[in-house]
Amino acid sequence: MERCKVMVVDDQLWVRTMLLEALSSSGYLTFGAANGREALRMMHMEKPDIALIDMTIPGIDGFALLAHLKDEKPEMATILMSGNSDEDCIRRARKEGACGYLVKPFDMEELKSLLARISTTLDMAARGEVRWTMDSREGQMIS
Amino acid sequence: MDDGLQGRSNDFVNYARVYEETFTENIHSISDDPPIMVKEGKHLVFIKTAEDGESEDEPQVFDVTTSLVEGFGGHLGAIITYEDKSEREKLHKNVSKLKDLNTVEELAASAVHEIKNPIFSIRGFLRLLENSLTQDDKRREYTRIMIAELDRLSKLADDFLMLTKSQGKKGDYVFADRILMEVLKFFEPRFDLIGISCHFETGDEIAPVYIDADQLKQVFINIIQNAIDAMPAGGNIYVGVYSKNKDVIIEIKDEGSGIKKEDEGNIFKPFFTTKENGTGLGLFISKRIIRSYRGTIEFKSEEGHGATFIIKIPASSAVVE
Ligand SMILES: Nc1ncnc2c1ncn2[C@@H]1O[C@H](COP(=O)(O)OP(=O)(O)OP(=O)(O)O)[C@@H](O)[C@H]1O
Ligand SMILES: [Mg+2]
Repeated sequence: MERCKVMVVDDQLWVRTMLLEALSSSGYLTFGAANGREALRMMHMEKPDIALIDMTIPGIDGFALLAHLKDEKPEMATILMSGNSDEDCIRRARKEGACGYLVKPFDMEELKSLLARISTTLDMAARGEVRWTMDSREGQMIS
Repeated sequence: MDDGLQGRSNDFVNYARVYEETFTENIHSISDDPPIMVKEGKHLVFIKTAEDGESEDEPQVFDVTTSLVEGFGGHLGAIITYEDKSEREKLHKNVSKLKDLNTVEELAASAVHEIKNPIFSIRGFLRLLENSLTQDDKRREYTRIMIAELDRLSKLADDFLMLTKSQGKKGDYVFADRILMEVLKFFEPRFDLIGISCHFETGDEIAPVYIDADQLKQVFINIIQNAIDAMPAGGNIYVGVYSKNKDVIIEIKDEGSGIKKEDEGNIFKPFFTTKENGTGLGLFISKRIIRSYRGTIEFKSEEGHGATFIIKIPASSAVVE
Protein backbone atom coordinates (compact mmCIF):
# COMPACT_ATOMS: atom_id res chain seq x y z
CA MET A 1 0.00 0.00 0.00
CA GLU A 2 1.01 3.65 -0.17
CA ARG A 3 2.49 5.43 2.80
CA CYS A 4 0.73 4.66 6.03
CA LYS A 5 -0.87 7.51 7.97
CA VAL A 6 -0.65 7.43 11.75
CA MET A 7 -2.71 9.51 14.18
CA VAL A 8 -1.00 10.11 17.53
CA VAL A 9 -3.35 10.89 20.42
CA ASP A 10 -1.60 12.03 23.58
CA ASP A 11 -2.32 15.04 25.76
CA GLN A 12 1.32 15.58 26.70
CA LEU A 13 2.78 17.97 24.17
CA TRP A 14 6.36 16.67 24.18
CA VAL A 15 5.36 13.04 24.15
CA ARG A 16 3.17 13.77 21.15
CA THR A 17 5.87 15.81 19.43
CA MET A 18 8.47 13.13 20.00
CA LEU A 19 6.24 10.38 18.60
CA LEU A 20 5.34 12.48 15.57
CA GLU A 21 8.99 13.29 14.89
CA ALA A 22 10.11 9.70 15.31
CA LEU A 23 7.40 8.37 13.04
CA SER A 24 7.75 10.94 10.31
CA SER A 25 11.53 10.46 10.31
CA SER A 26 10.91 6.81 9.53
CA GLY A 27 8.65 7.59 6.64
CA TYR A 28 5.16 7.62 8.10
CA LEU A 29 2.60 10.31 7.41
CA THR A 30 1.52 11.67 10.75
CA PHE A 31 -0.71 14.07 12.62
CA GLY A 32 -1.47 14.55 16.29
CA ALA A 33 -4.44 15.17 18.53
CA ALA A 34 -4.36 16.24 22.17
CA ASN A 35 -7.60 14.60 23.27
CA GLY A 36 -10.39 12.29 22.23
CA ARG A 37 -12.70 14.91 20.83
CA GLU A 38 -9.96 16.40 18.69
CA ALA A 39 -9.04 12.91 17.53
CA LEU A 40 -12.59 12.16 16.40
CA ARG A 41 -12.83 15.47 14.56
CA MET A 42 -9.47 15.16 12.83
CA MET A 43 -10.05 11.56 11.91
CA HIS A 44 -12.73 12.55 9.44
CA MET A 45 -10.49 15.04 7.67
CA GLU A 46 -7.22 13.12 7.79
CA LYS A 47 -8.43 9.53 7.46
CA PRO A 48 -5.58 7.77 9.29
CA ASP A 49 -4.80 4.08 8.79
CA ILE A 50 -3.51 3.56 12.30
CA ALA A 51 -4.27 5.30 15.60
CA LEU A 52 -1.77 5.35 18.46
CA ILE A 53 -3.70 6.29 21.59
CA ASP A 54 -2.60 7.13 25.11
CA MET A 55 -4.88 5.58 27.72
CA THR A 56 -5.06 8.56 30.04
CA ILE A 57 -6.13 11.41 27.84
CA PRO A 58 -8.47 13.99 29.36
CA GLY A 59 -12.19 13.77 28.60
CA ILE A 60 -12.96 10.68 26.57
CA ASP A 61 -10.43 8.14 27.81
CA GLY A 62 -8.47 5.64 25.75
CA PHE A 63 -11.01 2.81 25.90
CA ALA A 64 -13.94 5.07 25.10
CA LEU A 65 -12.07 6.56 22.17
CA LEU A 66 -11.17 3.07 20.98
CA ALA A 67 -14.86 2.14 21.02
CA HIS A 68 -15.80 5.28 19.06
CA LEU A 69 -13.11 4.64 16.48
CA LYS A 70 -14.13 1.01 16.11
CA ASP A 71 -17.68 2.18 15.50
CA GLU A 72 -16.85 4.81 12.96
CA LYS A 73 -13.94 3.25 11.16
CA PRO A 74 -13.67 -0.47 11.94
CA GLU A 75 -10.92 -1.08 9.39
CA MET A 76 -8.54 1.26 11.20
CA ALA A 77 -5.86 -0.39 13.35
CA THR A 78 -5.44 0.91 16.91
CA ILE A 79 -2.55 0.69 19.33
CA LEU A 80 -2.96 1.70 22.96
CA MET A 81 -0.15 3.01 25.13
CA SER A 82 0.03 3.52 28.85
CA GLY A 83 2.46 4.07 31.69
CA ASN A 84 1.20 1.02 33.53
CA SER A 85 1.35 -2.62 32.66
CA ASP A 86 -1.79 -3.54 34.56
CA GLU A 87 -2.86 -6.99 33.36
CA ASP A 88 -6.55 -6.14 33.48
CA CYS A 89 -6.00 -3.18 31.17
CA ILE A 90 -4.06 -5.26 28.69
CA ARG A 91 -6.68 -7.99 28.76
CA ARG A 92 -9.42 -5.46 28.20
CA ALA A 93 -7.55 -3.79 25.35
CA ARG A 94 -7.26 -7.15 23.64
CA LYS A 95 -10.92 -7.89 24.16
CA GLU A 96 -12.00 -4.56 22.75
CA GLY A 97 -10.07 -5.01 19.56
CA ALA A 98 -6.84 -3.05 19.96
CA CYS A 99 -4.04 -4.61 17.96
CA GLY A 100 -1.28 -3.57 20.32
CA TYR A 101 -0.60 -2.34 23.82
CA LEU A 102 2.70 -0.62 24.52
CA VAL A 103 3.94 0.18 28.01
CA LYS A 104 5.65 3.55 28.28
CA PRO A 105 8.55 4.11 28.07
CA PHE A 106 8.90 1.75 25.14
CA ASP A 107 11.60 1.86 22.50
CA MET A 108 10.79 3.40 19.15
CA GLU A 109 12.06 0.27 17.45
CA GLU A 110 9.33 -1.68 19.20
CA LEU A 111 6.69 0.69 17.89
CA LYS A 112 8.13 0.68 14.40
CA SER A 113 8.22 -3.09 14.13
CA LEU A 114 4.64 -3.26 15.34
CA LEU A 115 3.61 -0.62 12.79
CA ALA A 116 5.44 -2.44 10.02
CA ARG A 117 3.61 -5.64 10.78
CA ILE A 118 0.32 -3.81 10.93
CA SER A 119 0.77 -1.98 7.66
CA THR A 120 1.42 -5.21 5.79
CA THR A 121 -1.92 -6.50 7.03
CA LEU A 122 -3.80 -3.24 6.59
CA ASP A 123 -4.94 -3.89 3.06
CA MET A 124 -6.43 -7.18 4.08
CA ALA A 125 -8.17 -5.55 7.00
CA ALA A 126 -9.63 -2.97 4.65
CA ARG A 127 -11.14 -5.80 2.65
CA GLY A 128 -12.48 -7.28 5.85
CA GLU A 129 -10.36 -10.40 5.50
CA VAL A 130 -8.74 -10.22 8.90
CA ARG A 131 -9.75 -9.02 12.30
CA TRP A 132 -7.36 -7.24 14.58
CA THR A 133 -6.28 -9.28 17.56
CA MET A 134 -3.33 -9.09 19.81
CA ASP A 135 -1.23 -11.37 21.86
CA SER A 136 1.16 -10.95 24.83
CA ARG A 137 2.00 -7.85 26.79
CA GLU A 138 4.37 -6.49 24.18
CA GLY A 139 1.44 -6.14 21.87
CA GLN A 140 2.35 -8.76 19.32
CA MET A 141 -0.16 -8.84 16.58
CA ILE A 142 -1.50 -11.98 15.07
CA SER A 143 -3.63 -11.83 12.02
CA MET B 1 6.12 40.65 45.98
CA ASP B 2 6.79 41.13 42.31
CA ASP B 3 5.60 43.74 39.89
CA GLY B 4 2.11 42.32 40.24
CA LEU B 5 1.73 44.98 42.91
CA GLN B 6 1.71 47.77 40.37
CA GLY B 7 -0.95 46.16 38.31
CA ARG B 8 -3.05 45.40 41.34
CA SER B 9 -3.23 48.87 42.84
CA ASN B 10 -6.17 49.81 40.63
CA ASP B 11 -8.03 46.71 41.74
CA PHE B 12 -7.27 47.67 45.24
CA VAL B 13 -8.66 51.15 44.86
CA ASN B 14 -11.76 49.55 43.42
CA TYR B 15 -11.98 47.28 46.36
CA ALA B 16 -11.76 50.29 48.67
CA ARG B 17 -14.67 51.80 46.84
CA VAL B 18 -16.68 48.63 47.35
CA TYR B 19 -16.05 48.93 51.03
CA GLU B 20 -17.18 52.50 50.99
CA GLU B 21 -20.54 51.35 49.74
CA THR B 22 -21.02 48.40 52.04
CA PHE B 23 -19.41 49.37 55.27
CA THR B 24 -19.50 52.46 57.35
CA GLU B 25 -17.39 51.38 60.27
CA ASN B 26 -13.72 52.33 60.33
CA ILE B 27 -13.96 53.87 56.90
CA HIS B 28 -11.86 56.93 56.41
CA SER B 29 -11.46 59.30 53.56
CA ILE B 30 -7.80 59.87 52.82
CA SER B 31 -8.18 61.93 49.69
CA ASP B 32 -10.92 64.03 48.19
CA ASP B 33 -9.51 64.29 44.71
CA PRO B 34 -9.52 61.57 43.61
CA PRO B 35 -11.88 60.39 46.34
CA ILE B 36 -10.33 57.42 48.10
CA MET B 37 -11.72 55.69 51.14
CA VAL B 38 -9.95 53.05 53.16
CA LYS B 39 -10.95 50.61 55.85
CA GLU B 40 -8.63 50.55 58.79
CA GLY B 41 -7.33 47.28 60.14
CA LYS B 42 -6.60 43.85 58.72
CA HIS B 43 -8.78 41.83 56.38
CA LEU B 44 -8.79 39.19 53.75
CA VAL B 45 -9.81 40.36 50.29
CA PHE B 46 -10.80 38.34 47.25
CA ILE B 47 -10.44 40.00 43.88
CA LYS B 48 -11.89 38.41 40.77
CA THR B 49 -9.69 39.13 37.81
CA ALA B 50 -12.26 38.35 35.14
CA GLU B 51 -14.85 40.94 34.21
CA ASP B 52 -17.82 38.70 34.71
CA GLY B 53 -18.43 37.07 38.03
CA GLU B 54 -19.22 33.80 36.23
CA SER B 55 -15.62 33.10 35.36
CA GLU B 56 -14.07 29.82 36.44
CA ASP B 57 -10.92 31.65 37.45
CA GLU B 58 -9.92 31.45 41.06
CA PRO B 59 -10.18 34.85 42.75
CA GLN B 60 -6.94 36.38 43.91
CA VAL B 61 -6.63 36.41 47.64
CA PHE B 62 -4.93 39.20 49.54
CA ASP B 63 -4.21 39.80 53.18
CA VAL B 64 -4.65 43.56 53.46
CA THR B 65 -3.46 45.66 56.35
CA THR B 66 -4.34 49.34 56.42
CA SER B 67 -2.84 51.84 58.85
CA LEU B 68 -3.82 55.44 58.73
CA VAL B 69 -1.15 58.12 58.83
CA GLU B 70 -2.42 60.92 61.02
CA GLY B 71 -1.42 64.57 60.53
CA PHE B 72 -2.46 67.69 62.41
CA GLY B 73 -5.28 68.50 60.08
CA GLY B 74 -6.62 64.95 59.85
CA HIS B 75 -5.53 61.94 57.80
CA LEU B 76 -2.42 62.50 55.73
CA GLY B 77 -2.80 59.18 54.05
CA ALA B 78 -2.64 55.50 54.67
CA ILE B 79 -0.07 52.78 54.48
CA ILE B 80 -1.59 49.79 52.87
CA THR B 81 0.24 46.50 52.62
CA TYR B 82 -1.24 43.65 50.82
CA GLU B 83 0.16 40.22 50.73
CA ASP B 84 -0.73 37.86 47.92
CA LYS B 85 -2.15 34.71 49.49
CA SER B 86 -3.31 33.14 46.27
CA GLU B 87 -0.52 30.61 46.07
CA ARG B 88 -1.12 29.48 49.60
CA GLU B 89 -4.84 29.18 48.99
CA LYS B 90 -4.16 27.15 45.88
CA LEU B 91 -1.82 24.87 47.80
CA HIS B 92 -4.46 24.46 50.45
CA LYS B 93 -7.03 23.48 47.85
CA ASN B 94 -4.63 21.00 46.25
CA VAL B 95 -3.95 19.38 49.57
CA SER B 96 -7.65 18.84 50.15
CA LYS B 97 -7.90 17.46 46.66
CA LEU B 98 -5.09 15.03 47.47
CA LYS B 99 -7.00 13.85 50.50
CA ASP B 100 -9.81 12.87 48.17
CA LEU B 101 -7.60 10.37 46.39
CA ASN B 102 -8.68 7.20 48.05
CA THR B 103 -5.40 5.59 48.79
CA VAL B 104 -1.70 6.14 48.67
CA GLU B 105 -1.80 3.59 45.90
CA GLU B 106 -3.85 5.81 43.64
CA LEU B 107 -1.62 8.77 44.38
CA ALA B 108 1.48 6.73 43.62
CA ALA B 109 -0.04 5.44 40.40
CA SER B 110 -0.69 8.92 39.08
CA ALA B 111 2.69 10.17 40.28
CA VAL B 112 4.40 7.32 38.47
CA HIS B 113 2.40 8.17 35.37
CA GLU B 114 3.56 11.77 35.56
CA ILE B 115 7.16 10.61 35.95
CA LYS B 116 7.07 8.18 33.07
CA ASN B 117 5.75 10.58 30.46
CA PRO B 118 8.77 12.91 30.53
CA ILE B 119 11.10 9.90 30.74
CA PHE B 120 9.41 8.60 27.62
CA SER B 121 9.71 11.81 25.64
CA ILE B 122 13.35 12.36 26.66
CA ARG B 123 14.17 8.79 25.73
CA GLY B 124 12.53 9.17 22.33
CA PHE B 125 14.28 12.43 21.55
CA LEU B 126 17.60 10.86 22.59
CA ARG B 127 17.02 8.09 20.09
CA LEU B 128 16.40 10.68 17.39
CA LEU B 129 19.57 12.47 18.38
CA GLU B 130 21.47 9.19 18.28
CA ASN B 131 20.17 8.45 14.79
CA SER B 132 21.59 11.74 13.57
CA LEU B 133 25.10 10.73 14.67
CA THR B 134 27.37 8.67 12.45
CA GLN B 135 27.98 5.04 13.44
CA ASP B 136 31.49 5.71 14.78
CA ASP B 137 30.64 8.90 16.63
CA LYS B 138 31.90 8.64 20.23
CA ARG B 139 28.86 10.55 21.43
CA ARG B 140 26.76 7.47 20.76
CA GLU B 141 28.21 6.19 24.01
CA TYR B 142 26.69 9.20 25.79
CA THR B 143 23.23 8.57 24.41
CA ARG B 144 23.53 4.89 25.29
CA ILE B 145 24.32 5.76 28.90
CA MET B 146 21.55 8.33 29.09
CA ILE B 147 19.01 5.84 27.81
CA ALA B 148 20.17 3.18 30.26
CA GLU B 149 19.90 5.67 33.11
CA LEU B 150 16.40 6.66 32.04
CA ASP B 151 15.38 3.02 31.99
CA ARG B 152 16.70 2.70 35.51
CA LEU B 153 14.60 5.66 36.62
CA SER B 154 11.55 4.18 35.02
CA LYS B 155 12.11 0.83 36.72
CA LEU B 156 12.58 2.59 40.04
CA ALA B 157 9.22 4.27 39.55
CA ASP B 158 7.60 0.89 38.85
CA ASP B 159 9.21 -0.68 41.90
CA PHE B 160 8.02 2.20 44.00
CA LEU B 161 4.50 1.67 42.73
CA MET B 162 4.73 -2.01 43.59
CA LEU B 163 5.69 -1.08 47.16
CA THR B 164 2.60 1.03 47.65
CA LYS B 165 0.23 -1.70 46.52
CA SER B 166 -2.04 -2.77 49.31
CA GLN B 167 -0.69 -6.06 50.52
CA GLY B 168 -2.20 -9.10 52.10
CA LYS B 169 -5.69 -7.63 51.72
CA LYS B 170 -6.73 -8.37 48.20
CA GLY B 171 -6.37 -11.88 46.88
CA ASP B 172 -7.82 -14.84 45.13
CA TYR B 173 -7.42 -18.60 45.13
CA VAL B 174 -4.75 -19.16 42.52
CA PHE B 175 -2.55 -22.00 41.35
CA ALA B 176 1.10 -21.10 41.69
CA ASP B 177 2.18 -23.55 38.99
CA ARG B 178 -0.05 -21.92 36.38
CA ILE B 179 1.20 -18.46 37.20
CA LEU B 180 4.76 -19.71 37.07
CA MET B 181 4.12 -21.21 33.66
CA GLU B 182 2.84 -17.88 32.36
CA VAL B 183 5.93 -16.12 33.69
CA LEU B 184 8.25 -18.66 32.10
CA LYS B 185 6.48 -18.22 28.79
CA PHE B 186 7.03 -14.50 29.09
CA PHE B 187 10.77 -15.09 29.64
CA GLU B 188 11.15 -17.64 26.83
CA PRO B 189 12.52 -15.26 24.18
CA ARG B 190 15.09 -14.00 26.67
CA PHE B 191 16.13 -17.53 27.66
CA ASP B 192 16.68 -18.32 23.99
CA LEU B 193 18.70 -15.17 23.45
CA ILE B 194 21.12 -15.85 26.32
CA GLY B 195 21.24 -19.63 25.94
CA ILE B 196 19.39 -20.64 29.08
CA SER B 197 17.46 -23.92 29.30
CA CYS B 198 14.62 -23.84 31.72
CA HIS B 199 13.40 -27.08 33.33
CA PHE B 200 9.98 -27.04 34.86
CA GLU B 201 8.75 -29.72 37.21
CA THR B 202 5.54 -29.92 39.14
CA GLY B 203 3.92 -32.37 41.58
CA ASP B 204 0.58 -33.99 40.77
CA GLU B 205 -1.79 -32.15 43.01
CA ILE B 206 -0.88 -28.54 43.66
CA ALA B 207 -3.13 -26.94 46.24
CA PRO B 208 -4.39 -23.43 45.54
CA VAL B 209 -2.95 -20.52 47.51
CA TYR B 210 -4.68 -17.33 48.54
CA ILE B 211 -2.74 -14.40 47.08
CA ASP B 212 -2.95 -11.55 44.59
CA ALA B 213 -2.07 -13.13 41.24
CA ASP B 214 -0.33 -10.04 39.84
CA GLN B 215 1.81 -9.72 42.93
CA LEU B 216 2.79 -13.37 42.88
CA LYS B 217 3.68 -12.98 39.23
CA GLN B 218 5.90 -10.04 40.17
CA VAL B 219 7.72 -12.20 42.74
CA PHE B 220 8.44 -14.88 40.14
CA ILE B 221 9.57 -12.29 37.61
CA ASN B 222 11.99 -10.76 40.15
CA ILE B 223 13.56 -14.08 41.10
CA ILE B 224 13.85 -15.43 37.58
CA GLN B 225 15.28 -12.11 36.39
CA ASN B 226 17.93 -12.42 39.11
CA ALA B 227 18.73 -15.94 37.94
CA ILE B 228 19.13 -14.66 34.38
CA ASP B 229 21.34 -11.80 35.58
CA ALA B 230 23.53 -14.31 37.40
CA MET B 231 24.10 -16.35 34.22
CA PRO B 232 25.18 -13.95 31.48
CA ALA B 233 26.75 -16.84 29.58
CA GLY B 234 23.73 -19.10 29.83
CA GLY B 235 23.10 -22.35 31.71
CA ASN B 236 20.21 -24.14 33.35
CA ILE B 237 17.35 -22.94 35.49
CA TYR B 238 15.36 -25.55 37.42
CA VAL B 239 11.90 -24.60 38.56
CA GLY B 240 9.78 -26.85 40.74
CA VAL B 241 6.39 -26.55 42.39
CA TYR B 242 5.22 -28.97 45.11
CA SER B 243 2.52 -29.28 47.70
CA LYS B 244 3.94 -30.39 51.01
CA ASN B 245 2.08 -30.63 54.30
CA LYS B 246 0.10 -27.43 54.43
CA ASP B 247 2.34 -25.44 52.13
CA VAL B 248 2.89 -24.90 48.47
CA ILE B 249 6.62 -24.77 47.81
CA ILE B 250 8.22 -23.15 44.81
CA GLU B 251 11.92 -23.66 44.14
CA ILE B 252 13.92 -21.72 41.60
CA LYS B 253 17.50 -22.87 41.13
CA ASP B 254 20.14 -21.40 38.86
CA GLU B 255 23.76 -22.19 37.96
CA GLY B 256 24.98 -18.64 38.14
CA SER B 257 27.61 -16.77 40.12
CA GLY B 258 25.96 -17.46 43.48
CA ILE B 259 25.83 -15.17 46.47
CA LYS B 260 28.94 -14.15 48.38
CA LYS B 261 29.03 -15.05 52.09
CA GLU B 262 29.34 -11.41 53.09
CA ASP B 263 26.27 -10.46 51.02
CA GLU B 264 24.01 -13.16 52.44
CA GLY B 265 22.60 -10.94 55.16
CA ASN B 266 21.97 -8.09 52.76
CA ILE B 267 20.21 -9.33 49.67
CA PHE B 268 16.72 -8.74 51.05
CA LYS B 269 17.56 -5.21 52.16
CA PRO B 270 16.14 -2.36 50.07
CA PHE B 271 18.59 -0.84 47.60
CA PHE B 272 21.22 -3.52 48.15
CA THR B 273 22.57 -4.40 44.76
CA THR B 274 25.79 -5.70 43.23
CA LYS B 275 24.66 -4.84 39.71
CA GLU B 276 25.69 -1.83 37.70
CA ASN B 277 22.11 -1.15 36.69
CA GLY B 278 20.34 -2.72 39.65
CA THR B 279 17.89 -0.99 41.91
CA GLY B 280 18.14 -3.48 44.73
CA LEU B 281 14.41 -3.57 45.30
CA GLY B 282 13.53 -6.86 43.60
CA LEU B 283 14.03 -9.20 46.56
CA PHE B 284 12.87 -6.65 49.10
CA ILE B 285 9.56 -6.29 47.30
CA SER B 286 9.26 -10.03 46.81
CA LYS B 287 9.78 -10.74 50.48
CA ARG B 288 7.22 -8.13 51.49
CA ILE B 289 4.63 -9.61 49.19
CA ILE B 290 5.20 -13.22 50.25
CA ARG B 291 5.30 -12.32 53.92
CA SER B 292 2.05 -10.39 53.71
CA TYR B 293 0.34 -13.63 52.66
CA ARG B 294 2.02 -15.43 55.56
CA GLY B 295 4.58 -17.15 53.42
CA THR B 296 8.37 -17.26 53.63
CA ILE B 297 11.16 -16.84 51.16
CA GLU B 298 14.62 -18.27 51.73
CA PHE B 299 17.70 -19.11 49.72
CA LYS B 300 20.65 -21.45 49.62
CA SER B 301 23.78 -20.50 47.79
CA GLU B 302 27.45 -21.04 47.48
CA GLU B 303 29.60 -18.53 45.73
CA GLY B 304 30.39 -19.74 42.24
CA HIS B 305 27.86 -22.56 42.39
CA GLY B 306 24.51 -20.96 41.76
CA ALA B 307 21.63 -20.08 44.03
CA THR B 308 18.29 -21.62 44.96
CA PHE B 309 15.35 -19.54 46.12
CA ILE B 310 12.61 -21.33 48.04
CA ILE B 311 9.19 -19.79 48.46
CA LYS B 312 6.64 -21.28 50.84
CA ILE B 313 3.03 -20.15 50.79
CA PRO B 314 0.36 -21.67 53.02
CA ALA B 315 -2.12 -23.73 50.98
CA SER B 316 -5.47 -22.01 51.02
CA SER B 317 -7.22 -24.72 53.07
CA ALA B 318 -4.66 -24.10 55.78
CA VAL B 319 -5.40 -20.38 55.84
CA VAL B 320 -9.10 -20.76 56.52
CA GLU B 321 -9.53 -20.48 60.27
N1 LIG C 1 20.07 -15.76 41.73
C1 LIG C 1 21.02 -14.95 42.20
N2 LIG C 1 22.33 -15.24 42.00
C2 LIG C 1 23.30 -14.43 42.47
N3 LIG C 1 23.08 -13.31 43.18
C3 LIG C 1 21.80 -12.95 43.41
C4 LIG C 1 20.73 -13.76 42.94
N4 LIG C 1 19.57 -13.17 43.32
C5 LIG C 1 19.92 -12.04 43.99
N5 LIG C 1 21.27 -11.91 44.05
C6 LIG C 1 22.01 -10.81 44.72
O1 LIG C 1 21.13 -10.05 45.49
C7 LIG C 1 21.17 -8.69 45.12
C8 LIG C 1 19.80 -8.07 45.35
O2 LIG C 1 18.84 -8.60 44.44
P1 LIG C 1 17.56 -7.75 44.06
O3 LIG C 1 16.76 -8.53 43.11
O4 LIG C 1 16.91 -7.33 45.33
O5 LIG C 1 18.16 -6.47 43.41
P2 LIG C 1 18.87 -6.33 41.98
O6 LIG C 1 18.60 -7.54 41.16
O7 LIG C 1 20.29 -5.98 42.22
O8 LIG C 1 18.12 -5.09 41.37
P3 LIG C 1 16.63 -5.06 40.86
O9 LIG C 1 15.92 -4.09 41.74
O10 LIG C 1 16.76 -4.62 39.46
O11 LIG C 1 16.06 -6.44 41.01
C9 LIG C 1 21.63 -8.71 43.68
O12 LIG C 1 22.24 -7.48 43.32
C10 LIG C 1 22.62 -9.88 43.70
O13 LIG C 1 23.85 -9.47 44.21
MG1 LIG D 1 16.67 -8.29 40.91
